[in-house]
Amino acid sequence: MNDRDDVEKIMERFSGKPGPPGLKERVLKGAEQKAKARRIMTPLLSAALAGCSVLLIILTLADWQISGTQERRLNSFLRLTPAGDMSFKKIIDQKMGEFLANVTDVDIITARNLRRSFLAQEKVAKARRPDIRLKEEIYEN
Amino acid sequence: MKIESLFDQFGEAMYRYLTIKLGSARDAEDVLQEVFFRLVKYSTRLRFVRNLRVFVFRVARNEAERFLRSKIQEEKLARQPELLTEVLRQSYLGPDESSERFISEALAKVPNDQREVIVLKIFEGMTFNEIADISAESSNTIASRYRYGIEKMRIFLEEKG
Repeated sequence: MNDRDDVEKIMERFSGKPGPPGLKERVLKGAEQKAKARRIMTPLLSAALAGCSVLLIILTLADWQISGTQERRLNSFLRLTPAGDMSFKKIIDQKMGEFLANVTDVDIITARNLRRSFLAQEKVAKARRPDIRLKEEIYEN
Repeated sequence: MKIESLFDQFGEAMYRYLTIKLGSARDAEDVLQEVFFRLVKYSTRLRFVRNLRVFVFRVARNEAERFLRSKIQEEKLARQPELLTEVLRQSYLGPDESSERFISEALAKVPNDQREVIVLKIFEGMTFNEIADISAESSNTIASRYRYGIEKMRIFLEEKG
């Protein structure tokens, strides 16, 4: 065996021996067991995660609902116009529009006077609201 | 790809490779389980792999390296060439009794990294490029390791007569 090629030639005639009996079954079973043991998301953990997610959604919705109610009550106490309500000017414009729809030939001065009367009416209506709040405050206490 | 068919294709070859790399059939089986556990994890991504044989042998090699680092077996292996000779004879069948014994003894004398290349090249029929991909080395390095390894074997066999 004086040549490098001789060594290679002899080695090329070697063939692989089969593994021990039952090797495939043992290896695949072992791998499967390891995969099960090291799985991060166990069924219990998945269920817990799903439960927590549902709870979080419920709490968020409840919080949103409670906050809305509290905001509306607080606004009524502080005499603030709720975000969705119409402004003072819009209410008068709407009332003016409804009135003028049935009346023709109204000059500028009459329209101005009419606006003033609506404004006075609305101020009177607004001035009545503190009585209601006082009652609410009494009930709260 | 099904994991059973993956074993049918490469399982036995990987077992032989791991037995020689680790110097123990028992350790090879443990590491092979770990390899197949990894392959189960990667199963969805396996269809995107270009060369499946290189990929699975690379996983096997990485696992074997990890095992050797944790068990510090490499040193033990180096001290026991007769154990490695036996392991080689258990894994590969020679054309006759004497050549099987001589080649196994010669291969056991070769350093681990050179032996690994010789086993994969000659016994498992891989190319230098494939072995380079498995070992994360250049093809030139792999070819050199092969040449040095074969040369050492030749000298050993020459001395043996």
